[in-house]
Formats: sequence, structure tokens, C-alpha cells
Amino acid sequence: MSGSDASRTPPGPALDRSRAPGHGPLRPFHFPPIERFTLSNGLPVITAATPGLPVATMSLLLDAGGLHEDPSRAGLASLTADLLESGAGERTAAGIADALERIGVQLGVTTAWDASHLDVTGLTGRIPEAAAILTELVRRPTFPDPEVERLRQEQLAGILQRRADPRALANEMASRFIFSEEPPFSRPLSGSLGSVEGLSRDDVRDFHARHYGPAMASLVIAGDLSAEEARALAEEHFGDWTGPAAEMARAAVAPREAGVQLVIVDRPGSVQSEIRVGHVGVARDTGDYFPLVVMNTILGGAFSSRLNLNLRERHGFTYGVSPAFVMRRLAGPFIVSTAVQTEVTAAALTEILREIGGIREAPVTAEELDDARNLLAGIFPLRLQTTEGVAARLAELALYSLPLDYYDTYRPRILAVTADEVHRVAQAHLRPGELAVVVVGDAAKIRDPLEAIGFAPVRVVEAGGDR
Amino acid sequence: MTAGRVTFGIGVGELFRVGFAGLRSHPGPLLVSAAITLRTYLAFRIPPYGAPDFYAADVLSNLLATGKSSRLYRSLVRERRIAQSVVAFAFPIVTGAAMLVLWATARPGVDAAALEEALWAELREVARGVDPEEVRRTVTGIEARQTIALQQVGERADQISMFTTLFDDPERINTELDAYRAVTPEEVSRFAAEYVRPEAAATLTYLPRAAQEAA
Repeated sequence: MSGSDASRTPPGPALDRSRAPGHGPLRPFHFPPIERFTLSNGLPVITAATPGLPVATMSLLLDAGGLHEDPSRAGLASLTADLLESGAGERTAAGIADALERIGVQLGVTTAWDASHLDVTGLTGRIPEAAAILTELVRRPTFPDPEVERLRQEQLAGILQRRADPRALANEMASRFIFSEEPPFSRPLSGSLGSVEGLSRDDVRDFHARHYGPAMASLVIAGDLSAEEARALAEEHFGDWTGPAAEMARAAVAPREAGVQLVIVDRPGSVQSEIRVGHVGVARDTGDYFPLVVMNTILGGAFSSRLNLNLRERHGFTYGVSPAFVMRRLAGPFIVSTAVQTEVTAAALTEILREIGGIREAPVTAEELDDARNLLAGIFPLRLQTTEGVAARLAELALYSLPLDYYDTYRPRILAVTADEVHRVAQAHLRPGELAVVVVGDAAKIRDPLEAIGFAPVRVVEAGGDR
Repeated sequence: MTAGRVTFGIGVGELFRVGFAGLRSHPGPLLVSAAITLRTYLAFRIPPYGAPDFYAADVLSNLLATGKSSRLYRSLVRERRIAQSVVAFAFPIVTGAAMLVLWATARPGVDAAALEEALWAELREVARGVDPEEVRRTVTGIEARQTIALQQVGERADQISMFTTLFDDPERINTELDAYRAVTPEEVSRFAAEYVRPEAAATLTYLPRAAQEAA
């Protein structure tokens, strides 16, 4: 029960609490042992054994994401994936939920641009039962009419709700102005009111028939299972899966306009402005991955990064500001995101532009480089504490065809990045002359100050508007 | 401080009056907001965290709204389609009263009275009795989520710190699940009958502006 007072006194000499403890050297870290193999039907499988707690995750990745849908049917990939748990084989939606919850297994369904995935996580002993359900959802979905209609209505409600949320609206509008109107990335992943209104059960059945099959999928298993046990599970539940042959059209990604843009999405009465600053970035297979991650961390990926020190600590404009290179199979956006009080909108934008320019101009300091590399190397194992975290990393190996020793070499490669490399990738991948700035806020108050910056002519559009 | 010295300042289960000025009181206090969708909250004072009835409350909240086979999800979201989502949780406070809070976000076109009545219909139902299998499924879910959460060192630290701060008993991280396993179906329905009553509810409804203007 309760500890006595004596047990609370730490052993050894008294701590000097006036000085912060040093961080010490990085401890060695090894990614759990990985196996990769292919089932006789062509389904690639990657497994990692993580003994310890009796927990496991199984993920099925499908080439059935936003990149795989017909742009005129935008939102179809999401709707199809979401409907998998609405009925399969003899099971009803309620039956599926009940069967999973009875064994305490969590099912997640996610649709991204690169893939859709289904993840089950639970106690290891329950994973065989979960795998039996998972394979049925993917192979024998029934797409009942009332469920198609229910989820379609939910998707429409979600689109409306995002339009009312300035953050979500800013993200949506930033994509619209960063990317060319040609597919894929200028539109929202979950579709528009117009495209989702038009989706039918036939569309869903057709999308499933064309995109759900072992040749266009990968299975990932991470948890307290041996490689043999994982292999037997994969074989038993997915070995006899048949489906369509692979197909994947790779579109090119282009910016919307050659030069800079400054767009206000008018939201009268807003007390804050949501600011997005970005341009077309890089694909996940970029050869500059490691120096880019370090450069982005120095620019703004951590609390002590340049953007945060400037906008938050020095100027008090915001609680946080972060840049990101969103890497997909195709080039996603480079985008800086923040929210500031209306009065300081133009000043905050000026500082963001200054920092983007600054990191291109001169090499970063040795201290900045060290801090960023140590941070990235140090926090890397924290993403691997859970079977879900390990499974997500295995999924990256599968999605982006990375080598099996990728995560064992990750930390050394981060630590080897030099200031020259950081400088080179800043100049190559940050292009101030192509930035699109989108500000969701009160145009009546922010238009003139933004115009006065002289960055670009200001255009004012409505939420969801295009001109 | 130890749990034995905690004093309970406020009687639980008493009527909770919300005193926002200028709000209409039909059927609960109504608050106009710029939200796009209608949402109704029901909140109840319940025995504090650590008391046996708190675990019954937590099991009840999970049984009502955690997972797609939970009662409110099944009824309001899946079958009747009057809600987009439902949430319920027992908020762990160790002194005075803790809270059971639940809310439903309406589908477009559903009115506030219908949404609130649908919530109450389900709450009356659980007070009449719950199926042992349903309680078993709910506790299985709580056990699995706890085990999955404890994979993270941050979560372990949070929980050890919480149990030490609230109960002076860090070991509780290893025994807390026993308190959930001990909850019986009878306790869940008895708890609902005793504490989850209209006279004891604080009700808050967020009305979308459009609905407010039309009224």
C-alpha cells in the first residue's frame, strides 16, 4: 500500500537541482528483427517480433487510397474503406463491431493518399480471431444500401464541418492554391460536396473490385509473436486471397501557378488568422530525405527551432508554428502552418518569409545542427514503443520500397548529416519565388496590411471558392 | 494526504443548476453558438474516483458510448441515425463529486428535443438492466485498452504519478483493472437508476445558429 516516508528519499548523494543534468551519450537502439516474404498469391508480408507485453498489431495496406480513385469520384476511396466494417460475408455491421469488441480488439480504418489501411490491435492471443475477421472485411464486404447511404451522409456532414473550422479550411484551401488544378493533390482527400453527392453503391463495389487484391496490398504484423507464428497467421488468413492484378497510374504533380500567390479566404468576424505558406515539395523517394528532415527541424520542427523562437518566443504572435515536408509517393506540399491574432497577421507572415529566406542564405550553426540531429536520433525510439508504432514503420517500408535495414541505419544517417548538406537542400527545396500564401481570416482587417508587405497582389475568395 | 482523509463536500446526485444568464431553459439550458451541428450534453454528479460506484460509472460510460457495439452508438448513430457521434466518460475527481458526462452530436435536421429524448430513452433502458455479456465485453475492452496504453513509457509515468498523487499508492497501476473486473451487471443498472436521473442532470445544448434563427 502506501510507501513510508523513508522510501521516498532517493538513494545516493543529494541531487544538485540548481543545474540541469547533462543528456549523456545516445544509447544503442536496434529495430526489432524484421522478416519479409511473399505468400504464394503474391501478397508481400513484413513482420517484426516485439516481445514484452502480450500485444500485437496487424495492418493490411491497400493500393486503394486517394491517388487510386478517379478524380471525378473524389472521396470514393474513403467511402469504400469506411464501408468495409458495415457488413461482410454473413456478418452485419453490428455483428462485426460486437465480434471485435468481445475480444477487445481495436479496428482502425484509414484512407490516405498513398493507401488505405486496416489495422487491428489487441492482446496477442486474440489476434488470430481478429485476422479471421479482417480477411473477411477485405474480401467479402457486402456494402449494404442503408450503410452506404449512412456513411455517405456522414462524409458530407464532415465536409461541411471542415468548412466551418478555420484550421481545416486553411489546409484545404492551401492545397487548392499550392497544387495545379490537375489531379491529384489540389482537392481534399475526402472529396467535395459535389463529388460525394454523386457516389453510389455501384461506384463502391467497382472500386473494391478493381483495387482490393493481394497484388496491390501488403500485410504487416508487429507484436509478441515469433516470425513463424506471424508467417502461419498470414498464410492461414490471406494465403488463398485472389483479386485483381496491379494497376496504378502515376500522375505528375505540378504547382498551380509559376510565381507567388497571396490569397485571403474571407471569414468576417474572425479574431484569428490561420496562415499557410507553402509550395510543391518532394516525394518520399527523394535522395535528400535525411538532410531535409534535419533542415526542417532547424527551420521549425522543434520547440527551439527558428520559426518558433521567432514567432512565439521573440514576438509572441502564436502558440506554435511548424513547417513540414509532406512526403507521399508523389510530391506532397512543403507547408508552414500557424494561427495568429488578426492584428499581427501581416507581421507574422513577414517573419515566416524571413526565416524561409534566412535558412537558404547561410549555413546553419554547429549548435543548431547538433541539437537537431540529437533530437531526431534521440526521439526515434519513442515512436517504436507500441506495436502500432512498429507496424506503422513497417508499413512505410512496404509503401515506399525501403530496404530492410532502413531503420537500423536511420540514426547513423541522421547523425551524419552536415551543415553543407542542410544548406544545399534548403536552397534546392525551399523556393520563395513559388510560395502560395493562404490566410483564413477577416479580410476587412487584414487585406491592407497584407497588401502593404508587397509580397504578391492579394486575392480575396470565399470558403470553398476558387478565384 | 491519503484517500482516507478525503472529505466529500458536495452531496452527489443533487440537482445541478446551471446559471448562465439569458439562456432559455427548454428543455435544458440552450446556448447559441456558431457551431454547424446540434449537440446535447448531459452531466451528472457521481461518487468520487476510488469509490466502488465510480468503477460502475466508468463501465456504464463505456457500455454506453465506447465502440460501435455500445448502446448509444448502436441506437442513435447506426439504427436511428439521429446522431453523428456519441461520447461518454466518467471524469475522475477524487474529492467532492466526480462527473459522468455524455453527449451526442446530432445529424443535420434533428431537433434538440428529439436528440435529448433519444438519450434519455437509452439511459432509462440501462437502469432497467444490462446483459452480463455486455458488461463482460465492456470490461474486456477496458482491459485491452489499458494493456495497449501501458506499452508507452509516458503513459506508465502518467499513471504511476496519478495514482501516487491521488491515492498515495503507485502500486495501483497493477491492481486498478481488478476494480473494473469486479463490477457486476446489477451494479451498473443500479448505478444508472440511482444517479442517472433527469432531476439530477445538468443539460447543455449547443444550437446551430441557423436553427436558432429559424425558431
